[in-house]
Amino acid sequence: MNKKIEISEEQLVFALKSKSTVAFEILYDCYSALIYGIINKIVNNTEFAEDATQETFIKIYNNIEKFDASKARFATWLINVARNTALDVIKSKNYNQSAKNQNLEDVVNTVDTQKQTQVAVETLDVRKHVGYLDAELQQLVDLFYFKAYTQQDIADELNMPLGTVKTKMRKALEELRKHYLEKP
Amino acid sequence: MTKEELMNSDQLNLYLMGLLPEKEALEVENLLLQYPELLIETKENEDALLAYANEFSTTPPPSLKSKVMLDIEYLNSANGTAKAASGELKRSFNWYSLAASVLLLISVGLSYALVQKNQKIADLSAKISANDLQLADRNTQFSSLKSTLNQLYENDVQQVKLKSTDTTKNVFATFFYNKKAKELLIHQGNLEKRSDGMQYQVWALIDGKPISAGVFDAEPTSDSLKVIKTDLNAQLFAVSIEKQGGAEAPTPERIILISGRI
Repeated sequence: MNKKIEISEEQLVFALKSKSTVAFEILYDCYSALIYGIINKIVNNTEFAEDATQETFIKIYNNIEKFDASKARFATWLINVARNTALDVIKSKNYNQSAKNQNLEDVVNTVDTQKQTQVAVETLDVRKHVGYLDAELQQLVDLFYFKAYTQQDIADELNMPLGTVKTKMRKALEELRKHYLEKP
Repeated sequence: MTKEELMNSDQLNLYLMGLLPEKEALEVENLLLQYPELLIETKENEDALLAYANEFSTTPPPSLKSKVMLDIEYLNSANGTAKAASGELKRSFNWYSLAASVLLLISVGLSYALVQKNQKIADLSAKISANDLQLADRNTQFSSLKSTLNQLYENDVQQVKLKSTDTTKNVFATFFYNKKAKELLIHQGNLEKRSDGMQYQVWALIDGKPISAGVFDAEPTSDSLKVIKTDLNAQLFAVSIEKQGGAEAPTPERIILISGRI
């Protein structure tokens, strides 16, 4: 039977810096679902997501010394490592080749073909829609938070005036704050 | 930059996601300090986005954990720094033990020879009064305390307070860190004397990595300072409870004290 270990984030980070195998196992148990979920959201392919998650833990191992708790939140830092790894994956030749093959299969299997949508939007896994956020606002948040798009990038991608993107971004963040932080 | 411009800037969004380089992040922080309500909102946005990201948490396939842990074990064996450092310690320990044993033998031999050759000296030594011995002992203690106080009054000594990693426990200790003298003076605070054969181990964070600075025992109600020689240029200190002699790396759940950044 596994012994349950309860430790604080502060203890975990300190132990990770010593490259303790036990600490990395705790890290995996606590954060692998978040890391894998975000990567899968970005690459939208479980095989590539698994590889990128593995790569992310190696990057965490190699860069944990640089993490400074006085300057960043640990979860934000982990998400950054995961996001960067996933974004590198979707730029890779292998991934693009695989995506092309997948697209061909989709075309063959789809009776009612729709107009081709933006590539960047397509790569994001949009299957999960959070109910409290308007679909368009969620798309903006996803492009911003998961794909690290600037507001100008989003405007170009969605063919939307920059001012509108800025207004909608603020609205989306307000909705997120309202949903997660305000007590019912 | 006006508040409105800052609110709608990419800089703020990148700061929010922790993607800004250190210098630019500092600039945004300075700007945010001018608008406290925006600073609060930014921190709340970060919390909300972390909660949003959590919505997408998906348990990875079970096989992935063993792959990741194999990677970590491989990296640790390829790295081997901790083990090498520990080996050094062990080698040093063995060498010192051997040297100490040899010195002890020589010392015993010399003492014996001296006693044999000059009984008078031994007789005179035996006549030293108990009061004289006590006086010498107290003089030594006094000199030691005076020396400690002098060290504490030196400009280079930095006081480092260590607090409990468990907020429900009021455990603390204070270090006095003298980089010039390469010494760490430890005031045990309210650390308990251990009866489980474990020791307190001091860790110094160097370039983001914890390095052992040594071990110590806590005495019941002691106010004396324990001295650890160290030339480590620490960014912060931590204390963990480890087996006698210390561990190669801190055991995560046994890290009990941690300081702020030095």
